[in-house]
Amino acid sequence: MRPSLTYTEAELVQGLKARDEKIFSYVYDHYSPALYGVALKVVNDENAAVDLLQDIFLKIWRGIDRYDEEKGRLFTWMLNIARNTAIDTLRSRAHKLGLKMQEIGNGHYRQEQLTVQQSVDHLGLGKVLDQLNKEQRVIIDLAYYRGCTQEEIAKLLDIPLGTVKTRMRNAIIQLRNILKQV
Amino acid sequence: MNVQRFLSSGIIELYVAGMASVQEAQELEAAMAQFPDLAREVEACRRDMEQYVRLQAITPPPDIKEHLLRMVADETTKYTD
Repeated sequence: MRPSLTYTEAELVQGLKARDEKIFSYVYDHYSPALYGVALKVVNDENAAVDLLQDIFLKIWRGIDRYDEEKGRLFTWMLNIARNTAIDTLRSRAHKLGLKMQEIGNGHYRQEQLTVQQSVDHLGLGKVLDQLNKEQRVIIDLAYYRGCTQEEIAKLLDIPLGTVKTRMRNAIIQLRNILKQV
Repeated sequence: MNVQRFLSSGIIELYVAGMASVQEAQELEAAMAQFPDLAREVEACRRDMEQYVRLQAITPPPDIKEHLLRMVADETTKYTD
């Protein structure tokens, strides 16, 4: 995203804090695809993801005064809002339906392939992420996009807790190696 | 010493993926405040995780933006009134 930026991150933060609608529009243009991708990955439902994306940007707009640049970059902060908002929605929906995380997790598992294919092609990055095996993607996605705890993942994948940790670590190491080639 | 223990323990990876326990996260954050090298390593890992997210970006339907800008403009008017 760097090369196309015409504002520095500090300028964006300042603009948002000053309630500058032009800056908000710019931030939306630059970050909505990433945040929409997150919402879609979490809830796996386009209508719900559209609603979520609006919630997420309203939270960014309303909450920008709570953003503290000492604690991290703007994108990290926005991503956390996106993930937390989406995961909360997913969990409360599951709660209403009387489902356990395991059951949602399984649904995720099955639809994984479809969503992933579509988004990667969209950026023309082809097979980059195919270098992660399915097991590695599943564990990263359950943690990152589903907010599953180590215990939930152990139950869901029916593996010991220690294996969850080792597998997760290896998956992230593999991911980082792959990204070095991009 | 301490830093090495964190680097080899796998906690950084769990933390960045959002899977560290509350206690693990607190320990790591306390150590990050003390050791800049460790903080840099966590940040590097976080950037890679964010790159993974960016690789899966999807352009949202176009009409959302206009709707959102209207909502935001309405709020701004309310604040300044």
